[in-house]
Amino acid sequence: MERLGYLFDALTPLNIALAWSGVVAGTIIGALPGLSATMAVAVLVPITFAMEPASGLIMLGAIYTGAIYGGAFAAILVNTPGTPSAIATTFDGFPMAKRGDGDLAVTLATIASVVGGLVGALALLLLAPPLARVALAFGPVEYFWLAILGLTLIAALSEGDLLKGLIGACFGLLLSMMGVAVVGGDVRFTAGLPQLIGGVEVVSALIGLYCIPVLIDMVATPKAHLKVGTTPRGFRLREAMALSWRYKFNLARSSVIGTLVGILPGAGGSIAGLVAYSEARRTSKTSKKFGTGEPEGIMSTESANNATVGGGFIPTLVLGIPGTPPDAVILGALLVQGIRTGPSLFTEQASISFTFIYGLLIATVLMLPTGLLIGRYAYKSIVSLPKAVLVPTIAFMTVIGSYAIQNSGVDVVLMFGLGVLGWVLSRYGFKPSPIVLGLVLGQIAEQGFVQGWLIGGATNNLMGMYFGRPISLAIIAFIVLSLFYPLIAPRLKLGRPPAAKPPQETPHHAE
Amino acid sequence: MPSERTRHPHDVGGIVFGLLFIALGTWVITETAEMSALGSVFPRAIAGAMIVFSTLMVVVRLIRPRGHETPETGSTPRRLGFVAIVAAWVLLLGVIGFFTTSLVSFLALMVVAHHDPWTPRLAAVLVVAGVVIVTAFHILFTEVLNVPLPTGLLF
Repeated sequence: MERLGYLFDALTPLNIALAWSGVVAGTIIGALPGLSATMAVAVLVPITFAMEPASGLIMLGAIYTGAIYGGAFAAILVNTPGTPSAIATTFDGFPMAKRGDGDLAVTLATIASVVGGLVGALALLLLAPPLARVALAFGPVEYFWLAILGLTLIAALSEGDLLKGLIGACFGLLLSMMGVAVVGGDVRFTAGLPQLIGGVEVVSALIGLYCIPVLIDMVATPKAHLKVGTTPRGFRLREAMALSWRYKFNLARSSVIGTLVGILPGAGGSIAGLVAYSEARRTSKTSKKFGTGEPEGIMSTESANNATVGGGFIPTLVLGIPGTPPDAVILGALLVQGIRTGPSLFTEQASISFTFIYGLLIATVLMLPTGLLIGRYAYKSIVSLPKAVLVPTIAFMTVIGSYAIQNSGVDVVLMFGLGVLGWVLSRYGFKPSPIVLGLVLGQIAEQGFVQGWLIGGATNNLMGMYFGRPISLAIIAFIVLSLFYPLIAPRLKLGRPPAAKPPQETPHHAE
Repeated sequence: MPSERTRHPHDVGGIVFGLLFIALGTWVITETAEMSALGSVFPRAIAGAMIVFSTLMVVVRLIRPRGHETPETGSTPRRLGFVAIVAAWVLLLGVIGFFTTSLVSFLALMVVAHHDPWTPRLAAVLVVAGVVIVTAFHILFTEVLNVPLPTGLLF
């Protein structure tokens, strides 16, 4: 009952306004092809620092869920996924739009996104507190292994080469060590520069790594002349509701898949969308119609990708291990706010965590009217925004945002320097997500590793400390499994119809 | 299939970066010599892992050449222009002032990002848009979010 009280904390006019504006901003950024949900969260995160922690989190969650949903507009109406998580939405969304059912497809995507988002957020509400109690059994070594699991998973699951992903993860971990050591207090790897003693500020580094490479490639090409197939004329809400009810099992299954993929550290909306799509096609009675404008296809992808939002927050809040790439940015924001993630977030700081979770539920519900209205009235002007406005605006937000975190010009220079480095590395197959995750998880990993090393050394049982505890062994088993995933993956090949276009202008996928 | 499509059978960039990462790992390990035991154990472990992964990657790439495809599309001068403008921006914002550098960089980036022909009307609209956006965000951060943006020589 006490927890229900937090629902009223989330229902203040300010929090509702923040949730709504977050959904609007996220949907608009997500609807722009080339801009991912991670980018949406990264460029807007500095605005939330002045807010109360729960309110800031609500806004970030709303931006995230809105951006994942917004990707569907571009997928359906211009056959280009607005965000990588909407890749599978193009398969059936665009064929529907071509035959004049774009409005129905948008409404279906909206309903599916809301349902998926609600399932994910409810899973967060119901599963996170008991899991937080389980997490109390985790010692420092377990946290170290969990961080390594997050890194190997993202190296294995993000596109590209596993070894390059692992090298990127190590590089990110080394970046996190710059400055004063988290244990021991040594000043490390500053090359004698006093400006670097504070280390790499995580959020500004993430802004640089996720946004600058996209901008560098955006200026290089003229704006793709995206032809809007059909403009939604109405909502066809009743029809969409009837279809959603008919395919309720698909919706439920896809939402659960999305939640589970979200919980998996590192994996997010794009993987969830593709897995749910192929599951829906495999089990459907009309599987042959998939790829030609089958409503079930849109519903599976869109419910799954929005379910990753709530699912991804579970490891983020319970363990401090980000479930999806945008969660990495949000985790960075929590560090800046001085909030300690972990089991205590659900006991000592329950007012923050539960107010946020209810806020996320509210934001998800707000997506229904907001999304329908944006699709009906604003989509055409969003997609025709010229690059001459978009590029400088985003660049400006990265500069002002990275400055505002701790009023530091050094952070801005680091943001940009890492961004350019990230662009160069990405051209040679070293993707940004493993580097980012290494940077975010560095301190947790180091603390766990060094404490384990100390205890193991003191008890003369170093190997037993790292490899002899049951929870650790289970996590290590998952690490080994994730390292072999690239070998297994071709056998589980996710089928996709040939009509699908790859996302435009997003060589730096991150949801 | 050896054909003109596979002119660069080796992932040269990947191999070069692999070697650079090995060098970085080695530098990290030498740096840790002067650190306390607590401060050096983790960097050593990670640098060691990085050297192992990089060596493996380089060896695999040399044995089984597989060119890494980097789609080279679009204009390199525009990319360089973007990097040069933002580099000047982030280095000068403390010296000249946040608002001035931001406005100038914003307008310069518009020129770099716009590919179609210019018309006087378009230029006027974009300049007005630039001034409005920069001013609005400046006010949002300084007045609403209380971020003291550097004023520098100008403002």
